[in-house]
Amino acid sequence: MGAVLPMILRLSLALSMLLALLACGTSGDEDSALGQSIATFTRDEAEFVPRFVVLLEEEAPSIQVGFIERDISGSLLLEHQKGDFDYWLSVDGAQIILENGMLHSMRGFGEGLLASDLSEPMTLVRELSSGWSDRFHTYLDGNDFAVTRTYRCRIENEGQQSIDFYGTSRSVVLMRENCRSLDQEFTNLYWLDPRSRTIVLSRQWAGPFVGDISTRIVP
Amino acid sequence: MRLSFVAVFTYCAAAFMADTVGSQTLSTFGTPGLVDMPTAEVMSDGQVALTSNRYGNVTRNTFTFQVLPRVYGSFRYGVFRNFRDATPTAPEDFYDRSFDLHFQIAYEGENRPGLAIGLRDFGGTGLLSSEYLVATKTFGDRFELTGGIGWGRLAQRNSFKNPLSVISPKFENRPSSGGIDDTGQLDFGSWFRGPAAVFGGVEYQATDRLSLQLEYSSDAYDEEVSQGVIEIKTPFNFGLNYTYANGSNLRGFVIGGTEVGIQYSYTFNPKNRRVPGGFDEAPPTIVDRNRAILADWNLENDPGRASDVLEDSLDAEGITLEAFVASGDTATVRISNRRWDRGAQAIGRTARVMAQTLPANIDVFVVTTMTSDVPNSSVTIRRDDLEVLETDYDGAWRSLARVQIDDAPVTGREGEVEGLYPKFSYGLGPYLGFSFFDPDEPLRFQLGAELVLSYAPTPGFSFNSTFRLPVAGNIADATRESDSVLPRVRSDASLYAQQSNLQVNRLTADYTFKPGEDLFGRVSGGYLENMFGGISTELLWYPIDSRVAYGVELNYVKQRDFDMLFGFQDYGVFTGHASMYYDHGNGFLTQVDVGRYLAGDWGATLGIDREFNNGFSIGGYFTLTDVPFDDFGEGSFDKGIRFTVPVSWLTGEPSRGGYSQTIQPVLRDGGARLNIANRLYRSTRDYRAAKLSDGWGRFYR
Repeated sequence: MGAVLPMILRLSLALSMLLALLACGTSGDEDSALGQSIATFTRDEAEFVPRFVVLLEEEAPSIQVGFIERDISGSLLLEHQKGDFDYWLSVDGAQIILENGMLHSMRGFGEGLLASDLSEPMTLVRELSSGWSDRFHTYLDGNDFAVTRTYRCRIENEGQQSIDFYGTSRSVVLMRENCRSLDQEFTNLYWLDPRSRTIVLSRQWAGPFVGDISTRIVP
Repeated sequence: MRLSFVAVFTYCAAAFMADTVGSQTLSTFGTPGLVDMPTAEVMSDGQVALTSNRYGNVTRNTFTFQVLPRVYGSFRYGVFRNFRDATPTAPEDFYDRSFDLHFQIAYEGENRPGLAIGLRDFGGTGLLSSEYLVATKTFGDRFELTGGIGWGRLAQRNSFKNPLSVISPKFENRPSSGGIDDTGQLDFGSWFRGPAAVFGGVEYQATDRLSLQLEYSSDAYDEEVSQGVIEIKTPFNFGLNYTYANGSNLRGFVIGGTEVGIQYSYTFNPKNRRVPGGFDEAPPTIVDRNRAILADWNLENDPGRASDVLEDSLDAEGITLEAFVASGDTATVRISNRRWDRGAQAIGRTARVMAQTLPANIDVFVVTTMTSDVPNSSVTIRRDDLEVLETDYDGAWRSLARVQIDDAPVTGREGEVEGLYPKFSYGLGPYLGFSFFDPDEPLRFQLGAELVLSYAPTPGFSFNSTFRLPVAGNIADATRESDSVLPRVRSDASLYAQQSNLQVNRLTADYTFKPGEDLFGRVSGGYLENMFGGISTELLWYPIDSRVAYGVELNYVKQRDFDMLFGFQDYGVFTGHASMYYDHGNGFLTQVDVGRYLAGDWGATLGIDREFNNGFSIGGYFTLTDVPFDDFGEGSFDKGIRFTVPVSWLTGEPSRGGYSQTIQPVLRDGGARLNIANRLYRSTRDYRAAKLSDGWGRFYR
């Protein structure tokens, strides 16, 4: 009779999860949800949510997004536009919200980035200017509190470059943003069209859970 | 390649959990320490450590919880094999439950050591009973030196006169423990008394993950050696600990120069959901008012159309629309939440659906939450605020400052969605139950099929039933008969398992109602729980903006037949309690119940739970009644530890489900309370102002 407590936990959870697969019903709460655990941990192919299917049928604009540490990427479709904000939806209903191409918030990717204040770095980046700025990120932490973090950032114009953009050469300006707080630091890279000041390509830090993402607009 | 958040999760969750390298070394007692000896260290606030080890004929399984930044507590279940000669009532193996408490007097500073005081096995059989005062100092990055003085078991080697005897001569002698007869009682009279001895040791952190421990132990294992359970040749113990990235530790150790042991421990912090942001599908977008679905509809002429659209859209969000009323610039909905573990998230999504649906002239949304078909709270949200703050970096808290949370008025069935009643629901699935600490088989289980049926013909009135059919398990194999001198209201549990086949676990008619502002009422009749049936009434006063609630419950119940069908035994009792619930607002919930228990005994229960904001909770309780400790039997009084793990905490997927378990060292008849499935405080609390505010971080999630 060794390892009672860990065994209790393991047995309880494993068996409950396994058994929940057999459950069915119309109970008030959508609760036989231990089955969801299995679904989460065993699912390797995402299902298309109806919202995404509608956008697909409407041939909504798309954007390429990659999760760099994971080395995966895919297309998100534009679900909604509101002023400077673009709401991009993934096949399984997660969302990335970009403000003039800069990462503002995420929903459903596990990262708790609820919202950001990007006004200062955005001004510098879009003006292709170097300088200091502050940015603010609000994260949902693991204990369901919204926690705002402040980052001090140095933005540098790295000059004009030529990049390969869907097989053709495109002239862009690279803006580098180095940010740090008391315990975190990250670097964002933005490649902008020098005339429209649109971010055509970027590498941006989302948070401690997801790390860096890349974005590439689709012409 | 399609982009799947599940794939993202698999990678990220592993990486996110990997920040525990260098976590605390845990002793064979499952607490911060060297090998057997404690150190003056604590874990992170809220940290949980599960430890199991084996050496010689000894196994220890320990649950340790850092209750407060300076205080941790432990519950331990130890097995000593071949400890004594077997008798008809006692097997040769000895099973020992023990509780520890550790208080960090001072944290380590640059020029001073950390200092701590602790009690081991302060309420058990006394086999491990000991107390200590210990100091720990780190030198450089890798060395840690510990020295301490111990009493009781920690003074079995090279002991000397108790230095505390300068205070009082009574410290010179340690009264012998009452052993099994007094187990469960606090041994105040023994603490820090009798001879003392010193212990000490060093830990060397060889790499980020590997550490070595060497200690001089003042624990000579006198009892175990005399019983031949273990052999001790030297006072020095040695350990080697390896920490894995997921927070688990594997260690090997040698006790007394002869007994080689192995230990595994897993630590985690309930503060951290596995997935902080969750995998919930993105909420509906808040569209421009002129693009709302019903932008061109005149609600006054066709409110039914609005209700239909809202009903469908909310249903897709796991929310049931119960009623819709539009008046002037205000739209009110009554909803019940089926999916979201935070009420604020359900309200946020409801408001988004309303913004996506209702025409531009609607400026104010009122969301009334329903629990058990009774209105609970009403949240008033200005549509402008919802729109403006959606992308504000401080939108969650700014929106909380702008909403108004009121006790929901009783409005009858105005605006009720057509066809809402009668409501019928069912659930068919498996169940799993446990029984702990039977000396013959410490862990017993029962597995089977469970059918839950509910039928509500009108608001607040419902019939509820639960039926179980055991399929496998060994709970019914228990052969120990109750020796209780009290009415056997709980200690005959094994007879219920043995004599039942198809079980009627619950078959009740319930009426839930709201008799006035901030008041909730409940009347239940029928087969209320596995062992009792009868009438139960309850009234709860829970002011909407208060962290305190008061309740009173009165019941008359009769004991059910062991076959768990429809018959009753002769025993009947009036039982009931006055209760106070206090949410401290800092993560602690205190509940005090005073009244009469099932065995007719009068007394009170104190329960304290550490509730993490994400829903994970760990707590404990004890009950003292007018039943003398001797009459109560083993354990002296009723007590237990309990925990709840939300499904969403584990998976990141939205769910209102959770896994709850109460672990009682001994199940006896004193201090036993009726099990009611739908007590009011737990069912109403999620939507009162305090809980809604605590969870408001998820409003825009």
